[in-house]
Amino acid sequence: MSLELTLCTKNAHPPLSKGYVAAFKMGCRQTLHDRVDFVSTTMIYLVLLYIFSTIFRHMPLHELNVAGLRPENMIWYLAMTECIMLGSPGGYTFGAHIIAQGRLSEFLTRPNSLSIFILCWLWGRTITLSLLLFLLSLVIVPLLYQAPLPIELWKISFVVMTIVLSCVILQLIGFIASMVEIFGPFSTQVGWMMSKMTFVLGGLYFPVIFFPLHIQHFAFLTPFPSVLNAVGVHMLPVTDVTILCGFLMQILWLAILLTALYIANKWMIRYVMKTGV
Amino acid sequence: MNTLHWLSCLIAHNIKQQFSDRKNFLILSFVMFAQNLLFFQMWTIMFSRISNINGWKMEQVAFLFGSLTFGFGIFFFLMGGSNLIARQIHSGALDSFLAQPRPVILSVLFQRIRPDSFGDFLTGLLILLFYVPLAFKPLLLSMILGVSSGLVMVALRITIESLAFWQLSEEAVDNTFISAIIAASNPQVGYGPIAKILILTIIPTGYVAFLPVEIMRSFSMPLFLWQLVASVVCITVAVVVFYRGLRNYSSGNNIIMMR
Repeated sequence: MSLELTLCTKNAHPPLSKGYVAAFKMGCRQTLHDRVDFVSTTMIYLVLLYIFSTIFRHMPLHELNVAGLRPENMIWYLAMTECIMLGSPGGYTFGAHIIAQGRLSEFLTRPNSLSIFILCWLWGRTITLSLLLFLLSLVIVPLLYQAPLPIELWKISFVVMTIVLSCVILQLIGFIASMVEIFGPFSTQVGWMMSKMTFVLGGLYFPVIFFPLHIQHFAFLTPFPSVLNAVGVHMLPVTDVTILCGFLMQILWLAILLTALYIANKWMIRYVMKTGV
Repeated sequence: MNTLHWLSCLIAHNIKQQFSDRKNFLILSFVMFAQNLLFFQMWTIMFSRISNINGWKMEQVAFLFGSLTFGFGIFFFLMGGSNLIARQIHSGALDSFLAQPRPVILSVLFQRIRPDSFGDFLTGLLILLFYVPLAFKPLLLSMILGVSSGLVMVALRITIESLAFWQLSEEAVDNTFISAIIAASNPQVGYGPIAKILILTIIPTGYVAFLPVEIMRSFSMPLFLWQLVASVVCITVAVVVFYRGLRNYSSGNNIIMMR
């Protein structure tokens, strides 16, 4: 009797998290299903790695004064950061489509939050693609670019963890930034600027720790190094403390961005209620 | 009305149309300009820490970026339809261009202008003025090379977009072109002989970056002529591929009257 009751209650009120998990899984499946996209993304990945492997091999790395730094470290650094960037195509404009289509009132839907639904779907998509690219890099970087993995194998689980966190943070930044669409059709332009800021301040090609000090200080005040640098730094000859700092920064920015999302969501709902748009 | 006159009227009309929403035009151009400069900063930051990459100094990288954005800006500003080809093939929207008495490829390419590419053009101009010696000869040479590399980029875009005639998806077309841009917009140093042959033949990104930079470093008339001839060959190949593909095109039943 009690079991039946439990089942009935479950069916009548499915847990909120179930919907979010379903959205996440849908995102994962979509990435796995979209083979043409994966193949063409892999092509970009290979081209980038080829170009920069030649650049890094001809770069006077000793001028950077980083003890033990070899071209292999730099190739792997790029392989990591590109996993994140190529794994997140169009992330900066996704939420904006709903606003642009005048469907803002959908943010009122309850009990599940539409924002979290979209984010779960995006996280599913990007985490799957980024991890697939990471798995691919484990095979192709040593084979095609003669760069053996510069870390011990057991550390791969930490790398995977930071990749997941990076994808989560990047999509959160993109989603919050895309809400600018409420003020007009600016999300595409904001997306361009945000992606370039991620490239430069996040350290897409070159680690932030190689930048002059004043730029480093500025960069670390933004969430961008937590998206790219925190992942790539695993492959550099740095201390465990530096890697741990990167990880802690990711946790900190995750907390800040989740709070920002909560506030932005509340504000948007208030906006809909007030204006009726 | 001859084709040139028609083309000039079309471009003038497109520009007027864009300027009817001047605010949007300026915002798009400015944002593109700003984001290009932001991206360029990555190299300036790096070259503040290292002296050169296999002989390439900041001047070479700046010329590469400047000439690419300059040429890219001019052609993609005027030929804003170049990145719509695949989408229009898939949606059957090419029909309306087939019904016109003008060359199909010109109608498709010049159907609109891209305001954001004006920002590319401005970035290129600024970087070239800043990094190329302010004398008539080097400036003229850099602009010619910029136009030539822009022509190669537009040829690449047309060729890749035309692959949609053979059922290549839009996503794959976009990603292939992104690969070409990446290959063209970064220093092409230390390439092996096979890679050099590839970038000067099948994937002609060498004419966007590698060869123009070599010509600017030490001018050589045969190399300069090679660059000019190659850009003409690239655009010819692109037109041939487009018209070969057009034979495979099946109508989307969208024939409508256009201006």
